[in-house]
Amino acid sequence: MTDLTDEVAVRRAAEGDQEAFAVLYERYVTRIYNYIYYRTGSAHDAEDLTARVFFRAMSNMKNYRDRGAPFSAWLYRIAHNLVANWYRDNSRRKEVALEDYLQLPERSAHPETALVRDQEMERLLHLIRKQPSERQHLLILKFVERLSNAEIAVIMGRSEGAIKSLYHRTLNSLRDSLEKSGGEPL
Amino acid sequence: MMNLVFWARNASEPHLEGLESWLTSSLSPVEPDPAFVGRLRDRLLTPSPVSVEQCRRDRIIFVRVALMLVAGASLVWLISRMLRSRSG
Repeated sequence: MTDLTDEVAVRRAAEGDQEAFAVLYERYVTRIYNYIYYRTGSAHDAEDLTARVFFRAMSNMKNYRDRGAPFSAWLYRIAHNLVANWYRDNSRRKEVALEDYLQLPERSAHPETALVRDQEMERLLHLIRKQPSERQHLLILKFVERLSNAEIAVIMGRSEGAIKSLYHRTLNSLRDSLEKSGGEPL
Repeated sequence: MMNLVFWARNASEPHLEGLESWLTSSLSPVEPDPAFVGRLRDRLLTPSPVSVEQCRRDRIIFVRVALMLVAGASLVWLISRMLRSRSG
């Protein structure tokens, strides 16, 4: 069952095959979780919103129409809408606590080095989350999912050239934000 | 490894490769809690009893509204009959 292509699994899931939907779930749950985690900065909210994405996807499978975009693009669009709602509902939400990032890998064993890295990570994620949502999406697909521009273009429904251009603008904008933040320790 | 302070000090650098490599080394996939993934899978694939309760609650509300309507109509009919018998 796990060797089903997305196309077949989606068709069977749309016909009510729960095992086919389970295959799609197993295939994409980590990616959707990562997208939401990096957008919200909270593991708890990432779990809550990931669950909502898949419940919404399951209840709308019968209405899913293959328009040439991959199934993941549909899931990302649901996730994007739910994250947008989350930001709207939490507009006065406080900044995410540093402790929320402590599960990130590749940390130094030295406490001071780890602290500096945590602070830099917090600043970086703060600056990334100030970018428009499509730029955040691009950065997550590029640096978290490690996808190529061509793959990102398919998911985001744009041409590869448009993605390259958006990517360059995003890096320049991020660099400007870093410059404005001054590089001072938090 | 380059860090954020390095980047703030070298923001005028024409190329962005350094920023890219810093992002590459800083951002990495996180694994969701396997217990969460398993629980969610079970919830997705197991029909929720909540919908049954919701259905039952809806039925109770429907019955109550119907009873209220019948009682209201009866009251109106009774009052109108009383008024008619007085005037008659």
